Amino acid sequence: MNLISAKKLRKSYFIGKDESIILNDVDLEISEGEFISIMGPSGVGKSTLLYLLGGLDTPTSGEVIISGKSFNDMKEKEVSKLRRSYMGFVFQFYNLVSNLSVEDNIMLPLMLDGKKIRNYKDRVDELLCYIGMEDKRKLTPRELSGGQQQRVAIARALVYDPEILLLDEPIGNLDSKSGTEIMELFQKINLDMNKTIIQVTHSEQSARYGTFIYRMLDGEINSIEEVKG
Amino acid sequence: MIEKKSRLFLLVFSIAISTMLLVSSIGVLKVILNSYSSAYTIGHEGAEIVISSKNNMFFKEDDINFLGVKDSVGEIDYTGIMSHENEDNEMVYVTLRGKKLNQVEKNYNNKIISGNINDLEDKTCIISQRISEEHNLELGDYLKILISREEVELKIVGICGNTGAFYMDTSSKYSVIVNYTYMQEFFDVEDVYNVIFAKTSEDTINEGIDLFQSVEDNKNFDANPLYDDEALSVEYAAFFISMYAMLGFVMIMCFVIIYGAFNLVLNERLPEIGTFLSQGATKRKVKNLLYLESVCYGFLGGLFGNLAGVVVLYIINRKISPLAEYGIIEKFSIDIIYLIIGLVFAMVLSFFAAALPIRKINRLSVKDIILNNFYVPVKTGWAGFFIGIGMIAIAMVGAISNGKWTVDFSYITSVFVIVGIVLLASKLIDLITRKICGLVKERSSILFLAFNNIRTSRVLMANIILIIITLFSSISINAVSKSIIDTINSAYYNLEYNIAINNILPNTDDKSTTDSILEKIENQDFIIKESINPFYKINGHVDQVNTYTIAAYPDRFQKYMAYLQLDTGENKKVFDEFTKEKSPQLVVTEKLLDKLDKKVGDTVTIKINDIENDFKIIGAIDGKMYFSGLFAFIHYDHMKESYGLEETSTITFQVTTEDDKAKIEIDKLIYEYGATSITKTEEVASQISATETLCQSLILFSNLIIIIAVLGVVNNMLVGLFQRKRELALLSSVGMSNNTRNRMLMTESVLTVFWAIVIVVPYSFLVVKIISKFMKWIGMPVDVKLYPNSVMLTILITVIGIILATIPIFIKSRKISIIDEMRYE
Repeated sequence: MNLISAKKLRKSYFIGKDESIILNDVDLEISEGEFISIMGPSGVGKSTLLYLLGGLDTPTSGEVIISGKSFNDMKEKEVSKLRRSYMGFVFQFYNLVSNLSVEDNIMLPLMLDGKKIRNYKDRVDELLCYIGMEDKRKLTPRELSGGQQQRVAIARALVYDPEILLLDEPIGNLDSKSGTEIMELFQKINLDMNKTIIQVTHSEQSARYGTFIYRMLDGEINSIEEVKG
Repeated sequence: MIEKKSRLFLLVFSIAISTMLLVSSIGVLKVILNSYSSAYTIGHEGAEIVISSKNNMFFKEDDINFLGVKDSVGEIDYTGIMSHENEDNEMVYVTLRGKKLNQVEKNYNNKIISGNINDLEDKTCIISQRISEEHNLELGDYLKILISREEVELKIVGICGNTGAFYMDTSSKYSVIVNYTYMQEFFDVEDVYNVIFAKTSEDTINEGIDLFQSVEDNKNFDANPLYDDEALSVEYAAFFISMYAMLGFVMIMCFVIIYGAFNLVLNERLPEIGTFLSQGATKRKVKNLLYLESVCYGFLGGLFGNLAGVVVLYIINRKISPLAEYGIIEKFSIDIIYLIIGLVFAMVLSFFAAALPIRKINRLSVKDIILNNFYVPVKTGWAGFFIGIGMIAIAMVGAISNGKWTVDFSYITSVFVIVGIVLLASKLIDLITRKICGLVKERSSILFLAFNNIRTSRVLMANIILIIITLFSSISINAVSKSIIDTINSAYYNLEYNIAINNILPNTDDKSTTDSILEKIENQDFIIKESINPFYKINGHVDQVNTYTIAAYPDRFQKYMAYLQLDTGENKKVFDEFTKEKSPQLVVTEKLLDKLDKKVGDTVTIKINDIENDFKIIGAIDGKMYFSGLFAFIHYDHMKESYGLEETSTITFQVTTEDDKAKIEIDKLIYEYGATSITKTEEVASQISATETLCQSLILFSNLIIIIAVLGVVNNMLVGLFQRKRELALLSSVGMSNNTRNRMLMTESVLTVFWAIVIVVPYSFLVVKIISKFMKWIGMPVDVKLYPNSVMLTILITVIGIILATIPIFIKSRKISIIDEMRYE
């Protein structure tokens, strides 16, 4: 079953009178449990595609359909709800809230959804254990290394048990050791939890942790490669 | 673009407001003096000095040595009253200016509108066009005037433009020009004057007067300036000090605003600064550029501030011009030095306020600046907390203790009480909010995030401080202004009298007007005889201090002046001794004693109308608000005999009937003497109206402060928004809706006001106690109280202002792009 599909997805900007096309009528279909890596040179539209799939940006034309419903037909509130409960985001620069503790950062989507956070205590403990940071729950992001911050961002993305994880250069800011650990963690999440993951990356090596590699050129998906074994 | 223009406006506006207040504060005295001096100078055809005899009503010109003065012109002047009551029952005073015909021709020939100067002979007069119109008087009409209770009829032979002797004419008090020879005949004298007007021959008026008085031949003559600079300065002292106090408040707030604005400018420029640094510019060079920019803003703000200051002074000039109600505004001029001071002040203020954020560049690494990875956490250190506690403790001791030092150092405790809470607030809020965060976390995510942001955001904390200062300023100003009115009210209601008689003019009879009036009122059944209290209020010098001397019968004044509680405790002892002892002695206020640097038992010299007498100080009393707490008190007989003053200033008494009815009867009795009466209720109203300008200015400042604060808060919120763009984008990325974000931003705004209120309201009780002492120190001993309605209104206005200030933040926050903030490429 297709979890996400994009139809004739187009994004363009006007610079003066000239139209600059970032995405050119992209069609794609992603099934549950797939781990997609989108690759391509800088400025090709990888991140734009990712943000459009996550409902963080609106297309110039075309549509993104999540579980059978188009973003175009949803209100801002519904999209927000979808973002906090159905999807999880991980960014290159971790983007944690600097004045909240590790624990509070992880619980942020729950808080925003008005959930009783005491009901999710076990879930948070489980995630902290999963990312190996049980002893750092009271620290603030400034007190953590890059790799640790990215683990917190991953836990935050998982707290709501979302169907889809969207990763924008998740190891772009990490050293190779931390990067490898994080990619292994994503692979584990994909396999253990059957989460659908879509990542944008420049790294061929990290792309190989996924199940498919989508290569983009000039705003279009140029090729799809299945990653073997 | 609009955002940058608004910030430029805010910067320039803040600097301009401070400059405006400075220029108006330093320029207002000159405007007031100019306004009065020009009115008097025009009214006396350019003369600056008035010479009269100390002993006799008339004197010969030949007896005077004119050293120190020039262009002297002698006159016989006399003030009478219109011998009929006008429709409003108002007393109309007419001053007959007996001038020689050649002088009239010289000064008024081309100003006569109708009639002929040559007709000015015997019982004729010239009036002004203003009076002709106001009283419907035409050529050939007669003025019936009571002079020394003798009615004279003067035929109007000329109507002149409203200048010269007529310049100061008002409906109830005006001048007419009569022929000098007529006045000679009326008083049955020859070749004498009772007044000579002259100009100084020296550089200043006072130098001319001093030279004149130093001549032995002139020892029987008294030369005075037509207007008294020193007395005016004393009269307006509280107004000037209030203006400087307001300037202080506004300056602190503007400093915070300029600081905030530069913080924002700096944040926005970081990438640019990064580029400069990456290309080899030193931090010093970058800082110098920014300093230069701040000075430029200061210059621009200074220009507008100077302009606004000139406008304020012009308005003050219009308001205080003695003839403003006739559309005659005194010529307005401003010293260029004030504008230069204003400009320099603006540039210095801008420089120092900007220096704090600019200096931050030192603490940042070049890499962080280039990558715009710039985060300065809020500092809520314990050092500030403890220094704040120390300052508040000192302020509290100053507020609770009664020692004299608490008044003398009230300007320090006033600073401590505000600075102390500002230093303490951050940590205090941090500590309490930490606890609250834990409590609300389970209940409301918005409250939790908002409280947490307040605790950790430098900008939101700056807003709380700004609102705290605003509320303190506004609440204090309102409390001071209302307390002044209340104090005046209660002071006058505490005086034991029903009616006061004023304007007791000298006459040519053997018996003084005072004695005649006293004789008449003593015979009235409805007047309580024991309460009749004549007293002098004369401006003069006690040693070198310019002050008022009150002269009265001690026992009667003691009863009358219940406001000063002269019949209880130590005051009673002092006044009892006064009543017994007849030798020259005086009681001074504690404030005057302090100013004289004397102690009880010392001897001082009282100089009134150039006559000096020595008096021994037998006691000191608290003068409260009476004459700003600065006056001397001597026995009635000493004033009358030692200074030769026949006519008292005021006679007060109590009546057994209703005040208004008694007043009607009194008016009938005193009418022929030209004296006026006033009831206690009327007097209170008139005193309150006299302080109205001060109170109105205070309220105006209070509103201005709120406006400045709201603008400052908007700016700080924009700074906050700019700094938190990524954070807000992140919250959106993890599912925060626009609506929730707006609720969070609004909650933050409401909480900033909430914290400010929670701190300010209870703390205000301490603040007003210290302000009371400060008021005493500046010479307005008012017991400042908090007025709940006024406090509520100030809070309400501030809350509404801050909520409205949040609206632009909503609009701007909608424009935050998640992609732009989150995406690396």
